[in-house]
Amino acid sequence: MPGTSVEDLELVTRSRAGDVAAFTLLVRRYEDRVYNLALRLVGNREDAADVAQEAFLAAYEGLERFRGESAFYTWLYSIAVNKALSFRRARDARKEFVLASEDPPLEAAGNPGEIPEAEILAREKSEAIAAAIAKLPEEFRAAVVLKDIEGLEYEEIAEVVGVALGTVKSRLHRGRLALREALKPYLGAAP
Amino acid sequence: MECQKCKVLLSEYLDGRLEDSEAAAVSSHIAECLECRTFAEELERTVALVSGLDREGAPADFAQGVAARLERRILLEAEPKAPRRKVITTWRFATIGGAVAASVLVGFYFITSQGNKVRPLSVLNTAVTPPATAGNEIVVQEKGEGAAGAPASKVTAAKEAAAEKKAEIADRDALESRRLAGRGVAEAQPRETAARGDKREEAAASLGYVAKDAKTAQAGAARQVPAAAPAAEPTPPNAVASDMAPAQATDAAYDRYVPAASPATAPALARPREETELAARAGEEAIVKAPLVETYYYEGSAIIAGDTFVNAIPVAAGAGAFSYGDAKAGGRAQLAVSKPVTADDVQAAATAHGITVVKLSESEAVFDVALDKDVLAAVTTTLGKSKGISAAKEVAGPVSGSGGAVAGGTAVTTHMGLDEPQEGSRQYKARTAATLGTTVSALASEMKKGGKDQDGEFFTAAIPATAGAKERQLVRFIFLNRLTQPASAGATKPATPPAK
Repeated sequence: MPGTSVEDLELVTRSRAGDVAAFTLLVRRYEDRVYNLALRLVGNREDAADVAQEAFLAAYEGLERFRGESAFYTWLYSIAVNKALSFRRARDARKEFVLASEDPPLEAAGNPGEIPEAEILAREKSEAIAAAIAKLPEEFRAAVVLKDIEGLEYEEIAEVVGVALGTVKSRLHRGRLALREALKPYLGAAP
Repeated sequence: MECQKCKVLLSEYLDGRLEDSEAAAVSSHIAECLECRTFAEELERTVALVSGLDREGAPADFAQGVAARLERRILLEAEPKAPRRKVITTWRFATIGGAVAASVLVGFYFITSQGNKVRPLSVLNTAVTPPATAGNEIVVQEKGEGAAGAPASKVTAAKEAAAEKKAEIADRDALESRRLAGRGVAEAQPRETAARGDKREEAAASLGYVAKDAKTAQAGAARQVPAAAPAAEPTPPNAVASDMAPAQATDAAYDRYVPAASPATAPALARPREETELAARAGEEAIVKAPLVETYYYEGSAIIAGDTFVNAIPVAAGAGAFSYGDAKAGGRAQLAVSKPVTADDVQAAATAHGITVVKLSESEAVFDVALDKDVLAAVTTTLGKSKGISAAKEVAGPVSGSGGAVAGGTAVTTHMGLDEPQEGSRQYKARTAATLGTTVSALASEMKKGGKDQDGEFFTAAIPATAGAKERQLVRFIFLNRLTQPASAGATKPATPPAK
C-alpha cells in the first residue's frame, strides 16, 4: 500500500486547479484498488464499477477538502467506503439486493466438461467467500475488507471509517468471527 | 487466561497487535487449550481465505467513464452571471437501470409564484412530444405561465436528426483533424476563422435556429433575456443555413445562450454546497451543485419501479436551497407520471388528499399546492397503493444537490440525448458546440463515446445564464481526455479482467 507520494500531492494540486488530465492520472493510478474495494463492499461487479466511479467523482468535487494530512489513498478510500455503504443502503431500500454470488462467473460455463473440477471447486469457494463477505453487516464488512483484503493497518481503517481504534478492533474481530461461521465448510483444509 | 478473554484477543493476536505480555498469555493459553487453539486456527484460516480472494481490476473503460461523468459535473457547476428572480426547475428522469420498462417515475417541479411571470425558459415550453423511444422516460414538463405566448419549437425530431446527420458528415473531417492534432481547442479564439463560423452555422442549422435578427437585437440586452424559443416559425434547417448571415450574426445568435464572459468577468466556480445552501436560504443567488444522475432516485423524486414503490422523497421546504426558496414563495408541485399509473390514478390520489389538480394529462399533473414534502409523499403513496404497489419507503436527509437549481435564479437541468426534442437541450448543445467550434452532432457523438454510466446517452447540464469558465474547462476536458486518451486507455491495462 503506497503512502501519499509527492506525485500524488502534485496531481491533487493540479486537479484542484482544474487540470482534469491530472485528475485522470489519479483515477488511473487508484482505479484498481478503489474498484476492488468497492467490489468487496457492494458485492457485484457492475455496481462496484458504478460506485467506484462515484467515489472518484466525489473525490474530484471534494479535492479542496483534502489537505494532505492523511494519505491520499486513505482519503480516497474513505470516500469509496461511504459511497459503497450508502449505495448498499439505497439498494436494500429498493429491494433489489443482489448477492455477490449472483454475479455470473467471469467465463460462461458453456463446456463444463472442459473445466477441471478443481477449478470449479476453486470458483465455488471464491464465490462463497465473496458472498459471505457481502452478507456481513456493513460496519464489519468495511473493517474486514479494509484489513484483510486491502491490507490497511488498524489506524488507517480508523481514519478511513472515522471511528476509534478500539471500534476498529472490535468490528474487525466480530466480522471475522461471523465469516468463520459462514465459511465453516472451507476451514477444514489447510489455508 | 480464560477462554473467553483469549477468544476476544485472537484477531489482534493474529495481526500481531498485542503487547508482548498479552501475546505471550494468549500463546500459552492456546498451547494448552484445544478449543481455543482450534478456534484460533479457524480464525486464521478464515483470514487467509478472505485475503486470498483474487483481486479484480477496474474495467478497461473505467477512467473514461469517470471522465464522461466528470464532464457533466463540470457543466453542472456553471454559475449564473446575473441574479434572477424566478426559479424553474425541471427534472427529467431517464433510464434507471433495468427498471425502466415498467417504471413509473414521479417527479415534480415547481414554479415560484413570486411575481407574475415566469421566465419563458423555452426548455419548459416544449410542445414537442418526446420521441417514441423515450417512452421509458418520464418527462417533467410544464409551460410557465408567462410563457403561454412563447412558441414552442416545432422542429420535429426527424428534421433535427436529418440536419444533425448532415452536420455530422460535414463535420467529420474537422473533428478528425483536431484529433490528429491531439490538442484541444482550449479557448474560444476570436480570430479563428470561417471554418468555425461554418461550424456554428451548421450547429445552428441543425438546431433550427434563425439568426436573421441576431445582429441588431441580440447584442446587449438579449444576453439577459431568457432563451425564448428561437423562432416563431422555424425555417427548415437547410433554408436557415443558406439564409444565414456570416459568422458574426451566428455568433450573436449564440450569445443568447453563450454570454461572452471574459476571463475577468467570468464567474467564480461554484461555491461549496453548504455555503451555497446557506446563501440560498438567505435569498441570495446561488447554485446548488447538482449531481442529478447520482441522486435522482432518492432525492426529490418518487419512483415506482416494477412493483415496488421505491420512495417518495420530495424536497422538503427548508431541506434544500431551491426548494426552500420556492416553497417560501409558494410554488406548485408537479407530478409527471406514466404507466402503469394513469392520469386517473393521479386525480384520485389528489382528490383523496384534497388537492386541486390544476392540470392533468396522461403524462403530467400540476397541483395547486405549495411544494410540500408531506403532500407529495401522501399523493405518491396513495398512488402507489392504488396500484397495489408495496409500501413507500422514505429516505430523509438533506438535499445534497438534487436537480440543477439556482435559488433566486434560473436554472434548468435537463438530460440531453441525440434525439431530444427539448428546446433547452438544443440550446445547450448549440452553446456547447459553439464554444467548442464544432457541431452539435459531433459533440454529442463524442459525449456518447465516453458515456458508459447508466445515463450514457445523455449528459446533464444546468443551464444558467452563463457558463463561460466551466465551459472552458469542458473544452479542455473533452479534448485533453476524450480525444487523446481513449486509444491508450485500454491498452495500458493488460492485467485487468473484463468485468462481465
